[in-house]
Amino acid sequence: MIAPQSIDFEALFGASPNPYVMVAPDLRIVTMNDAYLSATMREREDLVGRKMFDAFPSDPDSESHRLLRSSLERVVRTAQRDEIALIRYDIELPSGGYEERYWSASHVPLLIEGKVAYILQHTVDVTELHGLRKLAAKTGPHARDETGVFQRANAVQEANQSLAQETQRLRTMFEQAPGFVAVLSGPDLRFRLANAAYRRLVGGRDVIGKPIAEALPEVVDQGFPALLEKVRTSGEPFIGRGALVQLEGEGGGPLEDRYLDFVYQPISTSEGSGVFVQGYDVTDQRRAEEHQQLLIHELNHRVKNTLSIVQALAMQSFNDRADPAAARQTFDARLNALSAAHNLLTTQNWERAGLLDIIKASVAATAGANASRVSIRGPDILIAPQTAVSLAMATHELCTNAIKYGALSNDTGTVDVRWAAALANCGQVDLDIDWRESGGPPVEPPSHRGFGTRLIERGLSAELRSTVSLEFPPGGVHCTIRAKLPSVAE
Amino acid sequence: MSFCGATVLILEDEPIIALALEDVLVAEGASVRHASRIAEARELLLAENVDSAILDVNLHGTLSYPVAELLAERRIPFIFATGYGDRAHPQQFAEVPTIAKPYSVEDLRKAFSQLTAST
Repeated sequence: MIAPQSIDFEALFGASPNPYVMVAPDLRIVTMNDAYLSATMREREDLVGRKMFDAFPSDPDSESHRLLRSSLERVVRTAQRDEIALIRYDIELPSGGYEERYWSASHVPLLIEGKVAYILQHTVDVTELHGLRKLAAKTGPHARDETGVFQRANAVQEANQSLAQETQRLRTMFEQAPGFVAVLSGPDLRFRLANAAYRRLVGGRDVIGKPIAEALPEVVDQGFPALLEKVRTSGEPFIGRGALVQLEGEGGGPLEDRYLDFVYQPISTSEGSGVFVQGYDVTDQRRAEEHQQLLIHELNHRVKNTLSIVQALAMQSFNDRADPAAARQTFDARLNALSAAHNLLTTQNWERAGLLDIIKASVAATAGANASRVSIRGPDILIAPQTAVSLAMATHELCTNAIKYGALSNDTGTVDVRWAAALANCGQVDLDIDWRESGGPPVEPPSHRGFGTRLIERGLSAELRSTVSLEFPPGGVHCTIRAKLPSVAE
Repeated sequence: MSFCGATVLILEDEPIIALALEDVLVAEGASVRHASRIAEARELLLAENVDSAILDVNLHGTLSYPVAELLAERRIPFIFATGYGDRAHPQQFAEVPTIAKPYSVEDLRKAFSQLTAST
């Protein structure tokens, strides 16, 4: 047995039937063996010290050039072995001109202190692979070539396998992506891919393999196929923001409005040029924004309306006849009653209020401790917001009159508030409210009809399509309100 | 145009506001007819002569433009009052003087003076 150190590796390298060339990380050719020179039909002096792509020139934009350069650069960068299963790299003939040649190559880094010092390229000319195989069957030395090819084929197979896994991973990601993704290609814009979100968007229809005009006929008149075709042929992407698309719902239902943010990206596929579609359904967001705008608008209207009511109350309270201190008190009390009604409406989103609550709250806000002398009984039907405000203010004025002149102006008088409600035509409600005072000082009809009285008589009448009677018999004030109320949804 | 001696139609669904507006107009020397719904305003216009009108644009969610059309047909000058400051009127009423709620007596006078200029 021969000790390894006594082997002349340089001679072995030189004598190897396999073509080898060694390059520095800057791709300058350092050395090569005879087999390499014979395979490339070149002389040693032509190659040593020259850069790889100077010695074997090729178009820098060609596939061959890029493939070879990127493999070599990858080895420098990663210090890992790299394989090129098949590369066409034409060789200049000594007689001039180029010969079409196919190669299989492996690039192995030679490390010194952990850094890539050289790259050993083992190339096999596979242009005549058949011939080589036949030759290898007869002559021993060439068997090495076939083994090399076999190893590279294995390496390619492994790479393909990891590519297949990578493809599967990408497919899964596409499929599960929160946004919708689709790929269409060809002049008839045929669906090649559509993920779960996209299929949901189009109502679960099976679009794969179909032209868009057939898969989603409703979008043709909406101009989307024309837009896709423009992107495909021009190569210019299109970005849509909050674009309205009308799509058939699940099971071919009526067209539904969807608002989409999306990108049409031109791509080239194996079936020719196509478009990559990616986006999000922003319909819910859009609806929420619209709803919010509506609420802000409505709130603004209510605030303005409430300010107008407050202004009107101030004008009525601070008139020329009133004593300033008393006017202030009257105004505060009216604001208080309005505020109590607003509190109740706010708890119901300003959509409705309970009649019982409205009258109770208004009496409590106005009469204070005397509220216990007001008996309130009636069904708690739902009423509209403006009706609630009107009734609350009317109750406040009745209550105020009772405190100033009526049953609540002494210690013993009482007020009986009753109402009945009956369902009328078209869901309307006939409401019958009866306010009866007793036990107070003898009543005299007022000489001046103040705001309160007018509000009860006129205001309510207009607001509630009602007839109001306000009477002043000596035994106590008697007010009846007969109103037809619009129905209020729960 | 002045209020003095004029009959003014108020179309306003909020009774408290309507009452205050009525008081202001009466103090200015006008007499007032009040309606809170479109149908009511129509009946009133058929039955009585009015010289001018103040229309609340939004009546419980119903727009009062049909009454505006009726007034325009009969060449009765009018102004709008609205709580929706940011909303534009339909084309044919784009030039109608409009006061935003809450408005002052001065706002009312100014809007009515514009009516004099345009009619």
